[in-house]
Amino acid sequence: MSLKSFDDFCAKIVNNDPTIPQKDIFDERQMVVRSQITTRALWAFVIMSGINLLIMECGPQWCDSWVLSTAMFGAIAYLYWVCANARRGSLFGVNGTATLASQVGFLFGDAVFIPIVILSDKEPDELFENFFIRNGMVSEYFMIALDGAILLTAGIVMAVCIGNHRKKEKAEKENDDK
Amino acid sequence: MSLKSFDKFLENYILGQPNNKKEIMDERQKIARTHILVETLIIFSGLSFISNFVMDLWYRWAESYASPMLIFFMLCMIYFNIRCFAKGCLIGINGGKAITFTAAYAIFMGVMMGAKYLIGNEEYSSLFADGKLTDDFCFIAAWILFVVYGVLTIILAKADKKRKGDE
Repeated sequence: MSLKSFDDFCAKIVNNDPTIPQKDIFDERQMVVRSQITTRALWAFVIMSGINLLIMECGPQWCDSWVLSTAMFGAIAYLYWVCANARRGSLFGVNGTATLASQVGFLFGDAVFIPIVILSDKEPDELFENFFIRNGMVSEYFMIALDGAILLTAGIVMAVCIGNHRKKEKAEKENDDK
Repeated sequence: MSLKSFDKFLENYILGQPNNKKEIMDERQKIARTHILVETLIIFSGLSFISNFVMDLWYRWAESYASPMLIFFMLCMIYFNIRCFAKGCLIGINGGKAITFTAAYAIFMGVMMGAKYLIGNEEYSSLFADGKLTDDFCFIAAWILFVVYGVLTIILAKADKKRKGDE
């Protein structure tokens, strides 16, 4: 959210400018909704990863890799962000679907290629034997796959929302033409 | 920030009922604080992720994974207050009492916990061991930063009040 655009908006209200278009008002509201969801998602990530570190440090170390367990909570927070924005209708921001479409491409790329690249240089026997549990802990192979799956889910949710949004836009355009 | 108050603010505008200047400033301040909070949380998340990444894959620079988070957290709280002061939204819309209380509480807790840790901990030995920062170092640094945060908050709150008084 840009404070500059909100300042411009406030300046118009203070100057009693009666010509603020409805789009500007909705854009500002959408920015506020998005920033509220972003704040919640970030708090969720900070709290979850903090509790996880404390548990791993003071209690049982349940995961093979510290960084991948943190990454999993990051991916969960991101998935929450995508779903909450999709539910509130603020996923696309004020710039439309173009930015988000490229983001979906990156998400699919990350979710598919990173696990393949990391896991492909392991010996198949070692990989499949220790895929879920290694040394009594959740293995890093499983965590990589899980992080990839969460990112893939976020990408699919985004792709579905983009598809629906574009269909809706097309239908509205056709209605206007008629 | 409450979306309800922002919606009320917009509703007033759409219905042609003028928002008074205070309401506009309040909304602006809430949005500025949220903006800075998001920045701070992103910095904290980034720092903690990078720290875990470095310690897990490259060089374990601290004795434990969790204790450096305290230092990062305190640094982020200090950053939040400085940024809020710079943007003129440190005191919030509820006046300066809450922030003075927070600052006094931070100083009290920081001094008490720091003193208890230093005096009561008989096993307290060194701040560095085997090329790593010990937990003792991280806790002491976090308590010192807690006191710094409290003192800084009081100074900034006074400066903010003075600035607003001058205006």
